Amino acid sequence: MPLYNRLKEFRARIDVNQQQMGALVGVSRQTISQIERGDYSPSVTLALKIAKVFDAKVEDIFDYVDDGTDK
Amino acid sequence: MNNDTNSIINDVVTSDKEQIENAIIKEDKTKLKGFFILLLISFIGGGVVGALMAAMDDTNIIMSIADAVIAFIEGISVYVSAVLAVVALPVFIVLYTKARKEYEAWDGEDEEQYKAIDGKLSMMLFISSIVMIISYVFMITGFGRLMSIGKSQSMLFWISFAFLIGGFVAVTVVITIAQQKAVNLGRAMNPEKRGSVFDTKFQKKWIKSCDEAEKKMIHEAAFAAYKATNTAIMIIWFLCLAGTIMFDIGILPVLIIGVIWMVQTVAYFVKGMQLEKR
Repeated sequence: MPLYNRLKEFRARIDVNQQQMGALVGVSRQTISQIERGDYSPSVTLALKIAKVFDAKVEDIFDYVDDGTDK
Repeated sequence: MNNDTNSIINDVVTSDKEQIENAIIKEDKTKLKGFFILLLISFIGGGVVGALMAAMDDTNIIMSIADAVIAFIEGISVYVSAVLAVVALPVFIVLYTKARKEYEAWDGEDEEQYKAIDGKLSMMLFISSIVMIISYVFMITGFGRLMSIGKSQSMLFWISFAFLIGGFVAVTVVITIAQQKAVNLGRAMNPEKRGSVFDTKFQKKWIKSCDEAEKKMIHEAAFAAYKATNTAIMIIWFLCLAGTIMFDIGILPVLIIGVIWMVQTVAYFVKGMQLEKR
């Protein structure tokens, strides 16, 4: 998957677990887990909400690298 | 912008409507030959199968097999729900007990543990749905059996009636409790989820509480179900054709299939058109 993220790292900085992170951005714990494992790419809205939680830019947390798998 | 981006933009700008349509027609032409060959094989294959069916019909083999199958189904109909209740109950107990134990030991974050618990709960819901469909079908065939027994054989009639109704009530209670337990444990693992299985608006509330990733999964699963149902309808339609030729099953089966097919198709296209207008 070409979308890489540092969500787990950012989450650790403010000491919130996946459940709490999900509550902050309005999604389930499972979705946060899927995003961190790269199994799910969040929508633009969700990515912006996540970035807002950390007072960071989306590009600080998510990175797109074209590895040829995204068709 | 890099060279790849410029190249893509240039391709889009230079493709006019005529070029696009020519490309589409060209693709159609390359696939047309294979399509006609498939049609021809289907016609020939259908003819061969039809001839075989007619030949077998002459020997009454198919009729005998069909009569035997129908007699068997009718014979067991009144007992199926009761048996399902007895068989399904320990299965649900084992699955739920294991899931519950694993949930108590879960740290709230371990994804592998979560998947193991969720898998058991999903299996409970899957089995309960299958059991419900089977019991509903055999409820009707069971009533058919009761009608054929008739009240003149009062002892057999009332025993069969007791098994049929009692079994149906028992299996309904078993699957309702299984679904309630599975949903409630699922909600405990995912506190944002809403809806009680006893609520008539359960599905609506549950879907509303699902996030974007969960809705994506539901939509993909629903489309897979739509495709599978389409295939099943085609197969059943063919069986109705064979049944009409060989057994004179009447028009009711194919009318029912036609209604289901129409409802599915109309629902799909109406929703699709609504979504396009957004």
